Amino acid sequence: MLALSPHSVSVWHSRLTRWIHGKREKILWGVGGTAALAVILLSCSTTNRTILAPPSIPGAEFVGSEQCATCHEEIVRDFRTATHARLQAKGENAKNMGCESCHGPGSLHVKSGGGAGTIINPRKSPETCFQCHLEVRAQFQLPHHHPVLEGKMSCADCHNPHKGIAIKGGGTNIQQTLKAGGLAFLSRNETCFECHTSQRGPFVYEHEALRQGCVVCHSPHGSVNQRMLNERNQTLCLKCHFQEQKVPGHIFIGDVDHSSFLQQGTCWSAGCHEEPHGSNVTPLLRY
Amino acid sequence: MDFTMSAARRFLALVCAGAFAVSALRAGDTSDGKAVTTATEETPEYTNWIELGIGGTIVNGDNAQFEQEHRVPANTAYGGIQDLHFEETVGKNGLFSIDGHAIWDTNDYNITVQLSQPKLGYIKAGFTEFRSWYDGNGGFFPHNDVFFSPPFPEMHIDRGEAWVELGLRVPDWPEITIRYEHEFRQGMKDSTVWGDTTLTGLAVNPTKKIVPSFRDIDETRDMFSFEASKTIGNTDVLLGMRYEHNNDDDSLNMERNAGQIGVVPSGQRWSTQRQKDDVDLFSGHGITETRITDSLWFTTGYSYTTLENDLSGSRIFGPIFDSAFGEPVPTLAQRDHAFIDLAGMAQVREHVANANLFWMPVPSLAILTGFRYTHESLDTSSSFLAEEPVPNTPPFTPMNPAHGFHYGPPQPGFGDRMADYDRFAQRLELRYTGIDNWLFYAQGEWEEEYGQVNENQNIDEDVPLDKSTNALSQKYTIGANWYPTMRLSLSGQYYHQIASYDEDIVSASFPRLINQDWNTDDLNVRITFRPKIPSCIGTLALVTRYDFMHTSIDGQWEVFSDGELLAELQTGEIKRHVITESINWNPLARFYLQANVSYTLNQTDTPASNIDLAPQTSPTVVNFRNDYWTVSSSFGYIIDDRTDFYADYSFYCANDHFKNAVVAVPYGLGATEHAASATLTRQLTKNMRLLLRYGYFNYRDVTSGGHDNYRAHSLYSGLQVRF
Repeated sequence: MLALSPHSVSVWHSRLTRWIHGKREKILWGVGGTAALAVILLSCSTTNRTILAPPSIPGAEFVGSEQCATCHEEIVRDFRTATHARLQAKGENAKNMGCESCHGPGSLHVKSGGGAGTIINPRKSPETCFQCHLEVRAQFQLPHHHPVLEGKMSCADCHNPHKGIAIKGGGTNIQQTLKAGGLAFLSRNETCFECHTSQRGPFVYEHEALRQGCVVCHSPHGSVNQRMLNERNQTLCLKCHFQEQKVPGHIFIGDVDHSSFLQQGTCWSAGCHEEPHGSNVTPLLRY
Repeated sequence: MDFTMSAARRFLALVCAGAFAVSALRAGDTSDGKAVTTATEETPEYTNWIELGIGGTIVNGDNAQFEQEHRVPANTAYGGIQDLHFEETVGKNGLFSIDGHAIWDTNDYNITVQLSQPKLGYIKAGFTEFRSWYDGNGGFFPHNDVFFSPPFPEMHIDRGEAWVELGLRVPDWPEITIRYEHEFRQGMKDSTVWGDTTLTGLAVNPTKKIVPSFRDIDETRDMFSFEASKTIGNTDVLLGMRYEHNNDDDSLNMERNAGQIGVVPSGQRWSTQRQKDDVDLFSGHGITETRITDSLWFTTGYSYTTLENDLSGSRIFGPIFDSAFGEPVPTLAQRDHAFIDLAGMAQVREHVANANLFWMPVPSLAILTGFRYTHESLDTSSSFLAEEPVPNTPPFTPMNPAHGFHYGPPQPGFGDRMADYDRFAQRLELRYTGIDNWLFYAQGEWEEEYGQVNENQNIDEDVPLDKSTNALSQKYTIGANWYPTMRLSLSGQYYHQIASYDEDIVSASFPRLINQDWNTDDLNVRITFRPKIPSCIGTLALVTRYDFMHTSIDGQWEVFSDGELLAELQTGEIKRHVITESINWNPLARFYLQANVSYTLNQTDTPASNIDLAPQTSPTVVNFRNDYWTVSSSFGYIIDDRTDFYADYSFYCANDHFKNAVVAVPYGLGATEHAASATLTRQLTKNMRLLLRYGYFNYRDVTSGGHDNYRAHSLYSGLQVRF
């Protein structure tokens, strides 16, 4: 019989504890994975239910857009003017490219007289939009993004799915719905300013890049960078503000030698150009 | 404030969640917010439901980073009503309904109450609030591992609104809608305007701006809108107005020369810049839409908007954040420019006229044209007292040290700006569907803007700015959608955009960017394929998409002090490739698998990346890479007639960190994140369903030197009851 001294027990306990702590993550994955696999493999029961990947409506069938027009006449009528109407070709192969290609099969919705929970509402989940806009899904997965996946915003807050040009604001857009109700003719950045009021100003001195649009500096769907910036370093500004250089080993911007400043951080760091959206004090947007 | 959670509290959170799960449940959203589609057949006899949920998280590492990314509090139990729908008939045809959710400890509330009566109208009201978290960390300087702990590691902002809307829908009467809404946004968040320190151990140019800063946000907005619409013959007429009033009281708070205690001058000190906006907006508009025939529509519109901002603010350096001006600051530095008593106004007036035509001359051809004219005039002015540091004079004291600075007599500062812009936008789009299973489209968009800007001020520039601006944007798009079979579709789109900006400057003091051209080419192709595969391996759907974008930016500067026109050159170039693939496979009726994979190659180049700043031997401004991988996948499995199992996994990886610490602050993200969850649902009774979910998260960040890293576990359980 093997006798264990208190000391050896203590050593083994210590080693075991260290091993568990060192391998905690792998153990967790192993146990969890085994349990999940066991659940799947051991489930031999029969079922006649069908599972569908989201977005889907279990038990529903396609009924055609004409059925939708019975209640949603205005939306179906106006859809011909929408950017998304470019998906609607004639012909047998394209016949399903109607309302139900985004909202899911509508038979249950029709049967229940428009009952809640019987149709896919892309305002509640962006999965419908992601079926085609795959690259946008990837952007929303980045560390800095608008809270669309989290359900605090929807694609339709910034886009018109049913009428006119899909991107709200500017251009020749016809009237667009506003976040707080009503309609208006939105200018180019007004879609962003509906929530970001402090960036709207108006400022005494504006950054004229805003006339080109917020997207010159920001990626509204998501970015790897804080504040959804397109670039996190000085290239964000220098892609426009770089000028011909005449002194080797230096960078002049606006005829001022910025060589030492650029080594300290970004252009919008403390004490430099802290107000990139606009300033009420200095046209150089320093503060 | 100490946000560290005790082991007991973590245990309590898990026990609460677990115990609740055992007793009941089913909930709504997955850990990454995706709605789970349950496989259970709907039970149409129940029109109402309530979902109760409780959960908790355990986080090791940077709690704030976890909260920021996943929008749930770290090391805290939370729960409440995950989803609610209740409706009841009122009278003969009226309907009363309540929808929403309310989760405590995440400050996530949304409730809408509506009462409607056909042929009369409706009244509805609601309240929404949600919280966004922010990580207070600033930058990390890898040389000597310099990192400053933020004053507020975990910050958040609550955004919400309360509203009421009345709609009158009496047949043959105008449809009238009246709405009032109050919005708020309050809290604290981090800022990328980082403060400076010289404690980096570098012998040359030791100053690096990596010290965390934060913004204090207090914003409210009240909106009132009124609309009336009526169809007269074949014309819809809509008249409306909107009034908004918003109050913003925000501040940017920075620590300067962090860690340099007692150093004179330029030692540790704090600055607070406060900006207050008091904005009134009024907008009135009229819109008509005439359907001359079913294939010919004409839309017109006009709106007038006026926006007035009474602004105020200050920028003060002091021994603490939000100091009063005048407190002695022995560490004051020569360039600590401050101002007080800012007062001013900014007024915008905008007229918009719009006309659109939709015409289908033949059933296979649609023509869409649009024209919009905008006149915008801005009139702004401000005055303030500029406070400039001047050298201290004897007798020297600890509060008036030798070689230090104090503020001299205030200098009145003022400025004003007037600008007028006329903008013309036109669009022509053609869509052709004359070939079966094909749709072709082509679109041209043109926008011209003519502006006149006059600017005066006495702080930065000696010569007033007087310039006229001319901007021209052209965008040409072509595309096609093809459905060769029911199982295959192909889409392609290409556009070329040219945007040119020219300035004709009569007088100016500083050098100006006098012209700039943006040329963009953008292409995307999408293939959707549902191959016919043996029924024994189920059904399969594949979507492949490729996006390419290239932008070239050219600019030219003029130096007015010596009349020199600098050479026009390419100032920036942006290239982006994105390849994405989506797979949806149902091998069995009881099993599905979904996967989405994307890879992005994205880089912005500037000529600055070719310049080694003397005496350095490597570039300070590097071309910025935004490359990343993302993966999201899920599967669902029916275990038995009552039980389903779901699992999700998502991955994100960026490897763009550029270690140029000797000559710059390193930026670019080097980070990897894994998130996985497993969910079990069980239909307990015909109207009751239980859910239990476990989630695991692992984030590693090189850029922050590991200060943003975390590992987290979450447990969530919920119960849905239909009634």
